[in-house]
Amino acid sequence: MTAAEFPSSFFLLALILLSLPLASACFAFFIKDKFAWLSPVVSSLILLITFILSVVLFFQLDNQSTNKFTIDWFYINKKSITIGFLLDAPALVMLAVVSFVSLLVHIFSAGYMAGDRGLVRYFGMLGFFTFAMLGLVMSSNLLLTFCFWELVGFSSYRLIGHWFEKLVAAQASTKAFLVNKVGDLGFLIGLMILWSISGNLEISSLTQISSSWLTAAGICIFIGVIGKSAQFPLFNWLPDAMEGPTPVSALIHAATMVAAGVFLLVRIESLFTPACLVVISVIGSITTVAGAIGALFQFDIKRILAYSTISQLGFMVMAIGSGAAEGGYLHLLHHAFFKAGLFLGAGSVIHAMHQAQHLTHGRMDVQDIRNLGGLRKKLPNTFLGFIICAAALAGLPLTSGFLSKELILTDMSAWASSDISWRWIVVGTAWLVTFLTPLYIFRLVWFVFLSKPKDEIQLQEVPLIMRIPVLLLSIGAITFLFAQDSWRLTSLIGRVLPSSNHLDVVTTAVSLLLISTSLVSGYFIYRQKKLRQQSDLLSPQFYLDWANKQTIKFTFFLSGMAASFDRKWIDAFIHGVAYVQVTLAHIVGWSDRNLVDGFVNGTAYGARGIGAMTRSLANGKIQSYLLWAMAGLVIFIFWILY
Amino acid sequence: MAKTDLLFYLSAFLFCSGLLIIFTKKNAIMILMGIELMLNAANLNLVLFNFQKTGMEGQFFALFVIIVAVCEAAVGIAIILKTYHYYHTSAIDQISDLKERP
Amino acid sequence: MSLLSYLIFIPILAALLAILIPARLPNSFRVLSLTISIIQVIILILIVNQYTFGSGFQLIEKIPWITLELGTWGILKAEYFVALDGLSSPMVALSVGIMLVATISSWTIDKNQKGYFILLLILNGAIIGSFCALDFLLFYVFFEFMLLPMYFLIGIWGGPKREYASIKFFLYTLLGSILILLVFVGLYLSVKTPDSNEQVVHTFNVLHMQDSDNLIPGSLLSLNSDFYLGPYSFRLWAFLLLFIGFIIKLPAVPFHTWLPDAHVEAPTPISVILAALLLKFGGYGLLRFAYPIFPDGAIHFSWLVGFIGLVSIIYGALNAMASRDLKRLIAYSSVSHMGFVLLGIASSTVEGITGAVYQMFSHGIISAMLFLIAGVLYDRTHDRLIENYSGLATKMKAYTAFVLIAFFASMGLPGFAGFMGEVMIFFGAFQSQSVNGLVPAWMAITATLGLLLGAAYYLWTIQRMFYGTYSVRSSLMDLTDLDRREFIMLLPLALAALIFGILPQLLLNYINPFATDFTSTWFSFEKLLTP
Repeated sequence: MTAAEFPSSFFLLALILLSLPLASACFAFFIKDKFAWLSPVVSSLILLITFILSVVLFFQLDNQSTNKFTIDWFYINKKSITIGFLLDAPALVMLAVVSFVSLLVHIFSAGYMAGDRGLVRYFGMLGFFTFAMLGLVMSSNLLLTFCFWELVGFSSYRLIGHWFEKLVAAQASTKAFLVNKVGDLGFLIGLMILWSISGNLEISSLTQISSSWLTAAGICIFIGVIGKSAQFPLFNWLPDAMEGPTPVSALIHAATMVAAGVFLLVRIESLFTPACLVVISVIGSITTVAGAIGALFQFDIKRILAYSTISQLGFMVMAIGSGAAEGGYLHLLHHAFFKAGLFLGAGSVIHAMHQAQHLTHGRMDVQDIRNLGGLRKKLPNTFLGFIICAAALAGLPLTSGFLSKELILTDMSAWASSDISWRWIVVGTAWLVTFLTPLYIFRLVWFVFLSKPKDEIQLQEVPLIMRIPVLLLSIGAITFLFAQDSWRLTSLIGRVLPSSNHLDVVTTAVSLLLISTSLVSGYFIYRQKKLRQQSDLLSPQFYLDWANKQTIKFTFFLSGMAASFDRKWIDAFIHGVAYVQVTLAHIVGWSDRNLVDGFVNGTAYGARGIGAMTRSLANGKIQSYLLWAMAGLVIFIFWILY
Repeated sequence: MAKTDLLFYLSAFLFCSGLLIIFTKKNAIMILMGIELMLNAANLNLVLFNFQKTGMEGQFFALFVIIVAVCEAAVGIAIILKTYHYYHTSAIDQISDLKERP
Repeated sequence: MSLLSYLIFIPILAALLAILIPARLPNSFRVLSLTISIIQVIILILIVNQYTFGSGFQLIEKIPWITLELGTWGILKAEYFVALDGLSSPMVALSVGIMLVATISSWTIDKNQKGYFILLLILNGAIIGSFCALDFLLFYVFFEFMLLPMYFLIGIWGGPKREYASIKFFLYTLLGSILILLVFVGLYLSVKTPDSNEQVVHTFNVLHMQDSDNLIPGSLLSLNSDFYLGPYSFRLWAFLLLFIGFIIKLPAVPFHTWLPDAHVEAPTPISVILAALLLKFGGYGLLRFAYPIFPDGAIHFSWLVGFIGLVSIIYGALNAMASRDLKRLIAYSSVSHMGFVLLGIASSTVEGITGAVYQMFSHGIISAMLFLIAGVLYDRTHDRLIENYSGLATKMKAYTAFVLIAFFASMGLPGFAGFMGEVMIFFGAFQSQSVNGLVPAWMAITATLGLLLGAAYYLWTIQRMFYGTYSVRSSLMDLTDLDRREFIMLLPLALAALIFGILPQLLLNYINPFATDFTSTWFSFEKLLTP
């Protein structure tokens, strides 16, 4: 018990913080359908308290020190596995961010999901997800982290499949869980390796391990990150996951759960050997480019954002692998705000369009950007929030995205500068993504908000409870309001992190140039252009899905083989043995009847024959009696005489 | 001695003829006659063997046999007549009421 | 009489009592059976109260049973010897709990209740008896006593193909029993009691068998026995026979095909008992008899044991995926999950052994739940084909909730008992290579695929049966949700799965001393490597 390290009142606070969302989930479990309307209110209130608690924790604790509280969970092989909270600076910031975004998503959902039949279930799972995510952030032990890691996957599965009557949603949820599970297996193998080399899974003690297996352990755990944070080659579940309700996409598939992988990388950074970091940075750079290219060719507003998320996550992972971990983490926090804002904005658009369609009985796909346009006038508040978040994503100055991106690019340049090597390729992809990101987000904003309206439908701005979250998130995406000096690399969100202030003027200039070029070229490309359906081949998901399908086919082939092996070989063998036995039994039975019984019958038959023979002597004929008697007498006489 | 020898042979011949009649004939009266023949053969033997010793036991015994044979013949004929009355036959093979039915 | 004996003999006495009750009072049998189960739960609570955590056996009861002078052959000695340790206590607790649930689930049996409940009570006593018995003869008697009621319960109250299934079940398990019997005769000839002086006292005491000092020098199964058959000594053969005998019960590939048939045809409560309790005798037998008595064989064949475990995991999962029948799917998933037990045992590390026992316990709870769930659906429609259902989640909310709990618990979601067992097994199996070199690490890594396949077939089943639009082929009316009785029998299992997933120490208090003893004393290398 290390209570001394951690004042117990804070432990209590953290425990309450963790259990509140769980209470919210339990509440949803017990509430009657009649009082379904209570569910959003209660859940949102609980989340509000959670958020306040997390802020209290954030300010109460000394930000630079590690605060740890653990208790023994169970013992095995005389070693104890502990669970507890490890509240260092990254965890505390993440805690505040997660509960804040979750609070806003709860509020937004109250409007977005109003009237849904599964309202209670929805808020219950949302509460459960928040619980699992907070647990994941606070956990002090990798095994516990893994537990919460799986639990967020589970709640993601349930929330993607919220509208399970839609087959696509059901399939998407299954796919998301299974692809995640592949990553989780990697994580599990990593834990196995760590356990076998150190017998200890405490995050704080990972630094002391040194073993040749460490690289393997690091890579295995990184496989878990690949699954959860949608990295190459396991990112194809994320675009499909957009079948879930949009607030869910905002919370889980943009701001928090997918970021959990990156958070884990930051948390166990000390574990990664140089070889492992190479893998991380290469995978990250592949993902970031693939995501950005994917986003360029999508039409579904949510899928574009999903690809953008993939790209940004790849960017963070690449940053962490390339010596810019601080920037990567800062970017993660910033991304949580602006991407959640983008998703909620998109949710507002979809909601407004649905409401309008409800009146006109329209049948078009409201998520397709080819059907949208000119919403700037109709949804002014949403537009405002959306455009600020989009600017942050593009990395325009004065936004949070700019700060973290600059930090990453500067650090990466420093990392690569020594001499010409493969590292330049990674840095090159970073620059490429800096160019591509403004392009695809400009395309999205242009077609949804700025271009000419496609048809005249009456749109109403979404209700207040849906507008406020978007605006709050967009405020979070602006940095200069809070920073002492907007050109210094500090932001409200990231101010607790030890920020490195070595701003490189050249890097900034080049990236600004790239961004402006990108925006200008975007304007000229998309100004007049009608969007046409492009070939599937341009979407990176296509290839992964193909690979997935082949894997599934192969698995089914194997399972069919196994089933037929079971039937045709094992069972057939058993049947064969049984058949041989039965045949043998028949043969034995036959011989029993014919040989053994035959012998018995034969003796009986013989006896009867002899009996018949002797009986024929006593045939009731007096003369024959006499004859035999005489014969006997004669024989007797002869026998006596001679 | 040769004379008596011949008579012994006669007696044996009579006995065998009687036996043969008993074995082969189906009629009860014939069998009865066969029995009479055998008895006569025995009587002849009794008389002949009496020659070879002093005394008259043989002759007396023969007389005794003749009397018994008469009684026997009377009883036998009576039974035969009675059965003939009942079964309308005097063939012994056909009188098989006591025999088990196969 | 100790509490254990009460636990064993109360149901058997109740079965005798039930013979006297006329058959036209079906409810009295149900009530009797339920009462007995509740009494057993109370006794179990008393036992838990008496049990002190630690190594060694507790609640020992030892009564001379058979003592036979055999002249020059020595003395045959068998005892009534029951006790609990860290291995049997979780199993006994599981048995009592599952029998209660199975009794509640048997409420719907509508054919010849008298016979059914009498057999159920006999089965109850025999199962607990064989988990407690420490005398091989006693164990064997209880063990065989268990198979016969099972045969009739499947063969009379089963589904359409019940004769085939019950005969298959019986023949398979009989084969296993015969192999065990062979070894057991050999052991009887080779083991003497430590206190036997000029006259050899042959004993069936398992604890004596486990100590190599008690082996009669020069006997059939002595440590350096000269008896060879082919490449292996008789001791190795004996281990192999015991191993095969017990993995038939487990069941492991390729001796598993009785399981799907028996499960598909058996009535729901019998499936529950079969999956939750009878399969555990495979693992229990290996841990209690095969491994401690023949540690040399265990070391020699550890690769094989691990490999069969691995094959069972993957092969069972693949077969489950190919199953169209819900019960068949669950049966194959049992094969897959019991493969983990085998892998854990093969590793013979503390983690592996602990995990194996834990996995047996958790699989007992979870598989019982799975079969009850399949039974709920079967009761309503008499149709188990997965493809005939769709969108059940829209109409049967509580049912879907339990299905999700059971499925996710079974696929090893953290927070449920299944995860704990599997993680421990993985940790144990992986580190086996560096600790004792029995099982290579790649087996543990490959075995994780079982988790993935498990998730795949369960999620696919959920997707097909519960998601999408509502339709049920065999029933035009909407299916009703769980009734009170079904709720009562599912809820404790769900809670147990949750509690033992969150607070593993509850069970590890019992298992830990056993696992430590198992690996350190019974399984020490020094004893075996020095002739």
